[in-house]
Amino acid sequence: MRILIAGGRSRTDYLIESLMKSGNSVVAVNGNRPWCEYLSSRHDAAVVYGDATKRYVLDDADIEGFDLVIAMCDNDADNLVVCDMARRYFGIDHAVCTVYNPRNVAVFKKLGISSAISATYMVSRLIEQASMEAMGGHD
Amino acid sequence: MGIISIKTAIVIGCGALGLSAANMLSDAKFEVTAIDKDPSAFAGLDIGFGGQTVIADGSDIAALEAHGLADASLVFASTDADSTNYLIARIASDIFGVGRVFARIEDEDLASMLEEGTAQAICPHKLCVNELRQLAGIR
Repeated sequence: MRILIAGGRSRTDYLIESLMKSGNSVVAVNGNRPWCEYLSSRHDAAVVYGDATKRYVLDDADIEGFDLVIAMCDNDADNLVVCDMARRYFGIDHAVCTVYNPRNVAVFKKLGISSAISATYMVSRLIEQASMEAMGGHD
Repeated sequence: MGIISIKTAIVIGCGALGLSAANMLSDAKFEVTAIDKDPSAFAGLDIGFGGQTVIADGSDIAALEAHGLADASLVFASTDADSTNYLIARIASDIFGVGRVFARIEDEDLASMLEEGTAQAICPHKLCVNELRQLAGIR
């Protein structure tokens, strides 16, 4: 698959490595210049410095017809814009949109984002599950 | 006589633009709710402003919903962030079906994407340049 990763910090480093190991090609767009330099020194991926919510930056990234966009910006609204821009202007229909506010998961799905995930929500579910297991089913 | 209909308006983001809009809507007999995360922003409302003020983050959808977003007859998203205004406008129009939704959007690609739905974008720099062109007599 050809994948656009927009925004994000340390999480992107591991994600790019993992996606490329499984045979995907990755383009990363990031608004932090030192982080872009770090990413491009570590990975054989194209790295574009710029604001991923801008069409002209995505133009530079040459992502027309990619299979998937993964939006990992710090701001939920920016991630919605990235996913909508990718679909409207670059024909990328599949999106994984990370959100900070767990309530936005349902909202983003209603707005047509194919997959919205909240780390806060997932981690709290896992902690809850692990707590139940640690208690061995006792209350 | 006829049924008295109460027109309600929500203005999110009270910078110079949002404040003027809130004052104008209040003058036009709308019941206005002005929302900003910074309470000092409300100092710019007219003495005659008859609406209410709410301290909340414009990107917190639950807070907007709690203050009547779904039932508003007019919504104006006028924060200083394009993405936030886009998110608010999409939610108001696409999820809650608010009839008259307006968003301040500087980015023209984002503005035209928003206008593919029922919400309308207002682009301040474009309006200013048109005014400049007219005032300067440039054709």
